[in-house]
Amino acid sequence: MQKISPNRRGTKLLLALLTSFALIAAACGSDDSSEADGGTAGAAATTAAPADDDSSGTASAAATTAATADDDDDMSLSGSISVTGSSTVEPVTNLVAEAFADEHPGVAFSVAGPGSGDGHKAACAGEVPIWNSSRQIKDSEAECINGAGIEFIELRVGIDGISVITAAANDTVDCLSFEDLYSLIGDEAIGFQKWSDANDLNAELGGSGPFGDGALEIFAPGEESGTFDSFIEIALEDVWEGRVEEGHADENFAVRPDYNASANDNVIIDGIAGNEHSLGWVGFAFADANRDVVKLVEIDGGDGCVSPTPETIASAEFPIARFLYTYIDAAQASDPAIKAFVDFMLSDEGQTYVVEAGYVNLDPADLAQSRSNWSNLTTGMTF
Amino acid sequence: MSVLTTPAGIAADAADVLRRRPGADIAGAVFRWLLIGATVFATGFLGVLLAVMIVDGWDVLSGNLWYFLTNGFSQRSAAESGVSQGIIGSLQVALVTGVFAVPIGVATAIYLVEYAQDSRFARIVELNIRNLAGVPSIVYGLLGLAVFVQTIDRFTKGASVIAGGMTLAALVLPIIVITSVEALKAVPDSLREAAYGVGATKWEVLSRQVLPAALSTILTGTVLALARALGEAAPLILVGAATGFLSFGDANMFETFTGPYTALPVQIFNFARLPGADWGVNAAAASVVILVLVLAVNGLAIYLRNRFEKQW
Repeated sequence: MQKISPNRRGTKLLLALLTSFALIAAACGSDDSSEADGGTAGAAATTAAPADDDSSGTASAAATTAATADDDDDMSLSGSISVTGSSTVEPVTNLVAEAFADEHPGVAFSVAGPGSGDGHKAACAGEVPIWNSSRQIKDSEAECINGAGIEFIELRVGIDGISVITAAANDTVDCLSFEDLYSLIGDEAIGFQKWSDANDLNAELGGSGPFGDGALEIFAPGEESGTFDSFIEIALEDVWEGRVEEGHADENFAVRPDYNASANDNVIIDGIAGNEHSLGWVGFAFADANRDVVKLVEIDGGDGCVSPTPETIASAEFPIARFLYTYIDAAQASDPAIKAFVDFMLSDEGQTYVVEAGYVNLDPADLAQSRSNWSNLTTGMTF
Repeated sequence: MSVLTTPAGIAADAADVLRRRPGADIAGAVFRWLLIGATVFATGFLGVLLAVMIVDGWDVLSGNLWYFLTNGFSQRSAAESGVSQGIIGSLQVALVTGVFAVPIGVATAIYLVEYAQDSRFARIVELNIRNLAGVPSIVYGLLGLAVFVQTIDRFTKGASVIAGGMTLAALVLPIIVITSVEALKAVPDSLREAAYGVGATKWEVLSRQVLPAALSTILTGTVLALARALGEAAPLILVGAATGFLSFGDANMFETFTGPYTALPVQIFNFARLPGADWGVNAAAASVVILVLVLAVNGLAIYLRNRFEKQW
């Protein structure tokens, strides 16, 4: 008898644990359904509130809509907004969402940044109302989304320059042309261990070489990254396609596979900073924030060497720049919380966060186009 | 050379050994120092890692630790960011993981050991479970995305705490089953036989003798499995844990289980990829926080083991 009693206590504890787990599971389950009811009721209540009575597409209109929302239904605005997609655009969305949530504490936010392609995939699966991309949506992605019965509204929200970088200590390189970049990074550069290995190819392409014989260590984003896609499209594609037509280059691969690929921009920065004759590319914000350890190489896109600065990127003088996009599910554009949020994002105040995140504002024509797309609920690719 | 099988030979060998000076056993000494070296190397690495994290995160840990622990992520600056959402999210996810993984895992183990015993079926199941324990966590993330987020989204509400917890439950389930199976197998058969011998039914043998005897090991294994779940980032990122700004609006504590979330390892991942050295400080400080959290969980495991341990 004495031997059994501690055993019994043990069994009771185990049973109690199992029971409590089961109870919590049941609670979660029932909470689940009641939450759904509550959510629907909340949405219905806020739909009745006069959140949108403005349909013109000018700057002031967008701004006043946001202001009206502030004044009238600050308290009643609720709902939840989840945003995914490009990790490059994510900081902009974060800053806009934080400022918006300060005014509208009832709106729940969830922002993630797995990558542009992941954003379009999530949209295709109907998982998110808003998704970001650091490149324009591809035809195949648009087909997938439309095929799922979803129409999207396309907005440009800012510009990101892609900076070609090397170590701050490297004084052998100041300016590179697209031909130079192809001869160092393109598919035909497979196996080049030193900068000077590229000299023959560079001379054939009419580049600015010859280069010195420093060890060529390349650090750059991997294939899943929008920065990778944009760099190929803007900096390498013209030269590469010419080489394919002449029968020199592989038609499937624009970039040499033997480089250090990373999805983490800080890893790229570390690699660049740690190797004197390194070469790579990252978004302008990252390069700009690390000017103490990396050097931003000037780029010659055919009109002379240009250094990346906010001014040269906005004016398109700097040749490697890309637009940042936000896409919205048109069916959810009338949701009061989403409408107020996007209104705020496109307002003059919302656009200041593009700069705060390290990017460059759109020129007025593009911004006006985004605003009119939004206010007219224009769907499809418009840029 | 003496012949070992004759008594005289054995005596001669023993005398040889006795005549050796301690320094003569060079191979033994080398081996001992190799082992010591390996131990120092392993613990040294951990020590360096810990020291680097504490030194790197010192600005946050010594300065505004309370703010860091009680505030959420803010893109505005590293100094305005904290890990409260990660701590709460991790605990919520771990709770859901426990709710799903513990009963199923322990029940599976009881069935395999006590009912299926040594059948062919049980051996195949056990082999598969052992293989599953070695599958990379990212694969469970893919499973979670396809099944828990997309297929049964009516129950999980998409990328929610529940979906994340179920994904990690699938991840740690094999570990819980294996440790529970080992715990049950470690209970001596003499105990079962003695109980049967005095006329106990199967239910009585299991509930009064076998389970209480195995309880401490089962609990320890379970808690350690949950600690592993606490440290996972990759599968959670795949099933939609927020890496960026997160707010709960007017949702209450229960509603957050079906809403968006983040977790400590996900926040560390996010801090580590943001540009600027001050975010790195946050990443190091958050690493120390998760280490303390895991240490606390492991401490609980040790306490439970000592509390319920039985000696045979």
